[in-house]
Amino acid sequence: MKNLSFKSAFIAVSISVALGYAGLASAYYSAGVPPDQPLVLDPGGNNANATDLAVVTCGSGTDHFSAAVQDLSPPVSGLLVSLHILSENASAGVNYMATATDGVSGNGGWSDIASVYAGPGTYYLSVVKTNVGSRNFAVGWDCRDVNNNSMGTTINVLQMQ
Amino acid sequence: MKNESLKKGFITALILAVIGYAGHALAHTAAATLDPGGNNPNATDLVQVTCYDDGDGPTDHLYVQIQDNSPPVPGLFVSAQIFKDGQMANTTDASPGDASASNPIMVGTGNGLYWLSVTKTNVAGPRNFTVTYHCQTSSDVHTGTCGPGDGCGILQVQ
Repeated sequence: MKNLSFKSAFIAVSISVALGYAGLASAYYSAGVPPDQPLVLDPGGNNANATDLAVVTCGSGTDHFSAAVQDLSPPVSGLLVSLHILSENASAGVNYMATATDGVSGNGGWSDIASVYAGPGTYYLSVVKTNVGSRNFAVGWDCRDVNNNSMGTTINVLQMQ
Repeated sequence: MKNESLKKGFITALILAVIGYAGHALAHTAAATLDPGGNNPNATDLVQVTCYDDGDGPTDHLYVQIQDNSPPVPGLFVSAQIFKDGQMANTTDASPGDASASNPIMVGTGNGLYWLSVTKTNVAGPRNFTVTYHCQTSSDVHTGTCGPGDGCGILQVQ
């Protein structure tokens, strides 16, 4: 059920991005769709190493893939949520992996934007945390061309923990 | 310059690991500094580890631990990730500077190329870390491991 909800959320957000993108800031959407079913990392609260993972396909014309994460749960000392972007196809001299962390949990703000410049193809997007404890989170993502225009994005969930 | 230092660190650590091997627990251990300039809160280091059958058996999984050797700073933690074939694991040293490593993580998808990364949470500041990685069989016996110290790839140093 959770996996299905997560997939639905991703699909809904992807569609929203495709339809509604009009600039950098508007690339971010809560993936907790519907609002009463937020994404939850480590729902049992006992897995410090919980890792959610999705694969994104960026189409022709893509220059880079960008993402950001927001920790929706109240602050807990030592417990932070981060995201990673990884490309296996980046050319030499271009970063393969990028990281961003929501350094202030529960304040409605997002992490920095993480970007990997690997052109069209496959990117992996993961969400992790630093210690035990359940975290509600939202994640936004976008394939973009060299002018930061939104491109088509296909996403599939590989792993939920 | 940093890349060279990282390589030397990996090589030195690897030699020490080989010399000091005393059985089942053979490990490849490397030390380096993430965000040496102290101005990149999102610094990410990335290497490749190749796992193969060196006669001790085919690889079942890659085992990794990370240790943050720097003094504690509020909100600043070092983590390691393994990725291969659509599977990923993450671990964090939640007690920096206490000389103990993180919980171990494993990704088990057989022989081949694994991606190993080290990241930190978004507070600028250099972090000295030690990462331990070794390929293991299904019985947790150490098997062929080619990491940065063996000439296998350092892809990204930040």
